[in-house]
Amino acid sequence: MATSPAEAGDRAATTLARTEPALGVPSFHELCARYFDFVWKCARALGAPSDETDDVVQDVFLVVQRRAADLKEERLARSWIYGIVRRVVSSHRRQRRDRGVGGGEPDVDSLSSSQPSPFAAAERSSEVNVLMRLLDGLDERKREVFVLSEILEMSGNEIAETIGVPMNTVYSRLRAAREEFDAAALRERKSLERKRAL
Amino acid sequence: MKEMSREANELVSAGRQAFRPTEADRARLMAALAGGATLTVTGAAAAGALRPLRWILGASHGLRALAIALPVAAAGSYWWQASGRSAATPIVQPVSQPPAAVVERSAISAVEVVEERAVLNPAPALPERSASPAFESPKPANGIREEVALLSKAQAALSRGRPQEALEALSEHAQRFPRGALTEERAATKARTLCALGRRQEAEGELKYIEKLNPTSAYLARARESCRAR
Repeated sequence: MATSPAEAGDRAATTLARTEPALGVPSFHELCARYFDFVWKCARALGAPSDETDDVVQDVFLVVQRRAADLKEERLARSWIYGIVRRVVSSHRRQRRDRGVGGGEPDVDSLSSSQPSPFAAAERSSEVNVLMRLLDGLDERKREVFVLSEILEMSGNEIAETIGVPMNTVYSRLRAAREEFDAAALRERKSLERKRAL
Repeated sequence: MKEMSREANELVSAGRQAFRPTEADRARLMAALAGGATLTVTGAAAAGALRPLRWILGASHGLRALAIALPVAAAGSYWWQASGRSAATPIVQPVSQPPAAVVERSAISAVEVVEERAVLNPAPALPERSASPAFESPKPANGIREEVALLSKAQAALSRGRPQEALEALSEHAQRFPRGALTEERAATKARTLCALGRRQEAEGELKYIEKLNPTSAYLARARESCRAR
């Protein structure tokens, strides 16, 4: 397709304009650097299969990149990115279920590479599998506040801002999630002890 | 709030450790993302994909070198930044200031890629990504990238002053991804498109829908502002 230099220039400007953030809002690269760990941890804790974590993180930042121009205020960045992570993870889990691979079930290969020994690694992978199963047992709303509070160690204020609900709601969901999780963890321990006793 | 049992705390602690990205994870993904960001500026703007390898293979020698050098420089810069020596330094050349050669390529193909590849091939093959083992196995089509491609097509049409075209792309998105991951993004673009067409009442309906989906949506301000400006 023949393109005149003037048209080409206009097109380049259009393309660049679409990717430029509003004044005072971090650039795409700054968003990547600032939120990479947050996106990764959220993705894993919200149930992204470990063998798809790279895909999920790239998909999240692809959306961030394409929509960065819509971000008007820096203070909204974390909440905005979190919303994207949640939806992308959910989409990947759904696709995985549709493919019959399993509902984003826990996997033993999900450990970081800093494993001290095979024994410790096996022990930790077993703990992570149990953790994932228990998290899967919580409903979505409880799971997200539990994950943000306990795994990502965010404060009640930060969680309220991130998921866009009042503080009271955060605390009531968190209280219920912790009780459920705790009870499930104790059941898990008893079941393990019974198996060992046999 | 009541303390959790030791068993529960041990599981949480295992999760905190296991869900942390490793340095290798960071380096691999940041390099891949830097490659993808460069691409957006340079030409494969939408088609909704991070497809560094495909573009690199099709580029001239100079651009090829640039495309390879930028992600490498980006990864290096990231570590420099991570080690606290240059906290305010952007990872790669800012998107708003691409090198001249890059702009040139963007000028040639950015919108064409959006229009032609995304439209003519609505289910593009998975892009090549970083060379990590995670990307080596064949994967099924990725819905998110197809969604991004359609929404990018709508945005491109809207910024070129063709709201009707944008609306068609958005309808296609709604048809193909009724429960898609980017429903909120679609509604935001639709609100702006409807305002551009002067259909304010319908736009208001979309804004209300976004508010219902996510009361604190980051898209609301931009969409409202865009509608007020018209």
